Amino acid sequence: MQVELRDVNKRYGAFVAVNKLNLTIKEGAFHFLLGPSGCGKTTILRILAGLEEVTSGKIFFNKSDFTLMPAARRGIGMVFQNYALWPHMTVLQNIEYGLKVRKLTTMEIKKRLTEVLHFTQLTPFAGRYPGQLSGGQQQRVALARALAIRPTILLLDEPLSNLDAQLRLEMRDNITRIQEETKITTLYVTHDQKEALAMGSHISVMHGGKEIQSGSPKDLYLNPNSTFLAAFIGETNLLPGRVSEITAHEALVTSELGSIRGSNIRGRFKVGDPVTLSIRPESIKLDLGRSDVSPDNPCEIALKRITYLGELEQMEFTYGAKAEFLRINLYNAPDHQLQIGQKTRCFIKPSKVVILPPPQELGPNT
Amino acid sequence: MAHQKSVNHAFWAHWWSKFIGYSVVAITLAILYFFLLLPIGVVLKKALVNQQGELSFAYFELLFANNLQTGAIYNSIGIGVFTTVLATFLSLPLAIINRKFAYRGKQLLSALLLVPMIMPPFVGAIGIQRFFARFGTINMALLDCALISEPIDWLSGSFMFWAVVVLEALHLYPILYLNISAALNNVDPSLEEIGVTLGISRLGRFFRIVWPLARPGFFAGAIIVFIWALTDLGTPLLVGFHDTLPVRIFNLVTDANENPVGFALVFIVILMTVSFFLLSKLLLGSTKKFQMMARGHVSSPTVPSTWHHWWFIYPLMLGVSLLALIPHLSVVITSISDQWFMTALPENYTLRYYGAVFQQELASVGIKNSFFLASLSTLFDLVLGLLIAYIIARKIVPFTGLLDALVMIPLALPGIVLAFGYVVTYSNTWLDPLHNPVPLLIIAYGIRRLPFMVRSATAGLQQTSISLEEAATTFGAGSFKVLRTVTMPLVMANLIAGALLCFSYAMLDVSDSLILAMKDQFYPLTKAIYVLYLEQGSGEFIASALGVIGMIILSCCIVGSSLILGKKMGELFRS
Repeated sequence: MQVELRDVNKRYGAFVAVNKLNLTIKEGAFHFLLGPSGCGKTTILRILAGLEEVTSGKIFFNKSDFTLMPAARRGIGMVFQNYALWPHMTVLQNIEYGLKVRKLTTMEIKKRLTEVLHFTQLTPFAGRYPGQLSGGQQQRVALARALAIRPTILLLDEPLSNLDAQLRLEMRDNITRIQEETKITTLYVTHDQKEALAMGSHISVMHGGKEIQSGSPKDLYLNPNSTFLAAFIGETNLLPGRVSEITAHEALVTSELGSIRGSNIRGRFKVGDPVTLSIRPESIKLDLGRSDVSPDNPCEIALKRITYLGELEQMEFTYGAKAEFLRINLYNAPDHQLQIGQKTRCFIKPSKVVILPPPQELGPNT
Repeated sequence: MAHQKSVNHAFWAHWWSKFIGYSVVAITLAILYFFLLLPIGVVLKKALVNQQGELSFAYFELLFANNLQTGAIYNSIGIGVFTTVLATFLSLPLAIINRKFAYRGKQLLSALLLVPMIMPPFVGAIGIQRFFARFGTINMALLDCALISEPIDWLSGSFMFWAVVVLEALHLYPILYLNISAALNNVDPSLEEIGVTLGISRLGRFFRIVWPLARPGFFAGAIIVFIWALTDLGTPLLVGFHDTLPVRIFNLVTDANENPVGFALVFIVILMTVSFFLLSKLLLGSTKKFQMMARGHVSSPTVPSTWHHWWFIYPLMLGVSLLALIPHLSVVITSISDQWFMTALPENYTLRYYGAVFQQELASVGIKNSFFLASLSTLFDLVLGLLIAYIIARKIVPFTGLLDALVMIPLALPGIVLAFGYVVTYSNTWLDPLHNPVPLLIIAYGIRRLPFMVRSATAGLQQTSISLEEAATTFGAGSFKVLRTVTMPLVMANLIAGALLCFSYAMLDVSDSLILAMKDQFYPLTKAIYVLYLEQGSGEFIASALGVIGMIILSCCIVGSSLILGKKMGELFRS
């Protein structure tokens, strides 16, 4: 099922939850909606489920207008953040509910129950009440209940947020596997960027009721189009500066760190424009006397603090007259003799420097 | 083509579901209008507009010129005030003890405290008369002990006033106890602990920290107790203290259309109810002023009790409950007494009056009628209460606050006012209670207990996550299917609790029964008791037996509910 939202607006009084959103989810896609809390992502999910009405705009399922279709007739499967398992029904009765409402034959119901219980490894728990299950099992029941009706679209609202870290990793694989096997068009809402990066094939990043960028995880990470996105997905150093020179493929930016050449230009700039540089901590190479590091964009920095994390050392450096820090991550770091307070140099490849418009106030959602 | 069809389909389905939602709201509002607002409006209009259709206060001049009527007004206010004071003295220590101490049997004793709330005070009134008669139990006991030489005339006017006050207070103190307990439990214990760290004494902490925060809750209960006592018809009627507003109104109902003083009296009752409500709100401010900060529940104010606390905990808890049941105990004794003359207790006991209940046409029909009426009115409350609670809890329509306020009116609305309003409004229509009071009785019972049902169901719905219903919707269930398969089972405990309360109160409703049921064949239990009681000969004893049967039915309801709710529901609904 292909899903399309066209100019969708949703207001609660003066509050704008969704702002002129256009979004297309391809048939069979595993699509992620990623954004901080309050960005409108859950509202979109509820609009698609038919639990909220749009203020204006239209929704299309396979090119048919579904904007006014009541929730009960949309044929979607939804997993709620709190699972919404009915506490007065057993696991079996929970899963059976949607099938009975659809008035399927007893044979068919039985077949699907066996299938979905097996699929989610819940067969031994069929007779239990939700209160007698662990968090992970409850999560699986919610998923099984949604899958049993063979939904045209599967909507998942932060399905892993109530689980502990270990279980979350396990369930990530579980859900990805199920999506791959069933090929159901799936929309997954989360605020956890790691979850989205690890699982998603296509991510739409939301902020202030709008989609601000969409693409593959790699694309979003390497080529963010705003400082918000650069900072939201992964860690980054944001450095304000001013364009001092423009060439065919590169721009030279004067900043507190020095004059820095960047080739990843996200926006149209002319000389004198204020910009912000986004440089990932792992893209900055320390001058440790190694020959395989090309000496681009050399900068003078002084070590302030080291945090040792095993496979990774996080370092903070001071530079220029600013009280700000430059963060550098060293993976599998070779032995170095850097002392706190010691001055050194670092290099940055121009292709790893993302030149962005300065952060804008997105303003309150009014 | 297929596309166009699905669009049309969606469009109609959308508006159909809206239509159903708003129809339910419209029907609810219509019922509340015709059977709550309209009767009150008609009474107000008749009181203020004379036969020429002009605004006039002539009826009030008539009323205040008569010493009998003004005396009744003062007496009723007095009953209200003293009942509230006495009920406070009974309930406040109990609430404080239960907040402060943990002790063995606390749950049982706390439940026992609530029993008098559903025991009919007017039945107790029969027993009290026996106890305090010129040659009744008290006088005979005192004579036997040679404490007095002449029987004391207990049943004079001022004694009967106090008898009503005591009976009302013993009946109504649980309402105050529940309100004070809830208010005290809402006070964050850490606020008190801060007082401890600041070196404030125990009494200082109570009067300067706890009580100011709990006070709004206390007054919310106190105003209900005050109004219920002021407007109760059954107790003064059976005690024989007829100089009260409700009894006067009752006596005027039959010729309501000839004697306009009745309207003026009802108007005064409404005026008093409303003004005392406003006064209590005005003087004490709304509860919002002291809205409690988020509670951490870090500590509990309850401490384990030791043996030197027991000497006041147990006597107080047990004492109040037993004291409250004495009037009812006296009814039980009356109902089984055989020869009872010039002795403290009966000389012989018999069960023949219980047999008489089932031979007596009036008595057995009364039981049957009450069962029938109370069952139907409870059903009425269940359906309407659940729908209203659903609309309020899920905010289906705008202005749910207004709807909530509307539904709560009957809690403070005196039964006599509503019954009087029904008689006036629906006389000479197809609902005329003179011909067949059954529809109006069911509605009156139902409307007056609706607040219990709505509050109970709303509480259940607010504890049930809305996503449980939404989930059912996404799986294709329509609104009524969701209500039936998901919502109702989840709030079943609240529905049963509310329904039992509605049923119990309806079974022993006095004012509606006495006023609306005008023919023998329609008499409910309470009117049968009243009429039998007035009969010469063995009437008093049969009335007592009938009262005891009523109390047994009520006790069964309460025990049954605690069994159903305790075992079956308790564990299931904790997810």
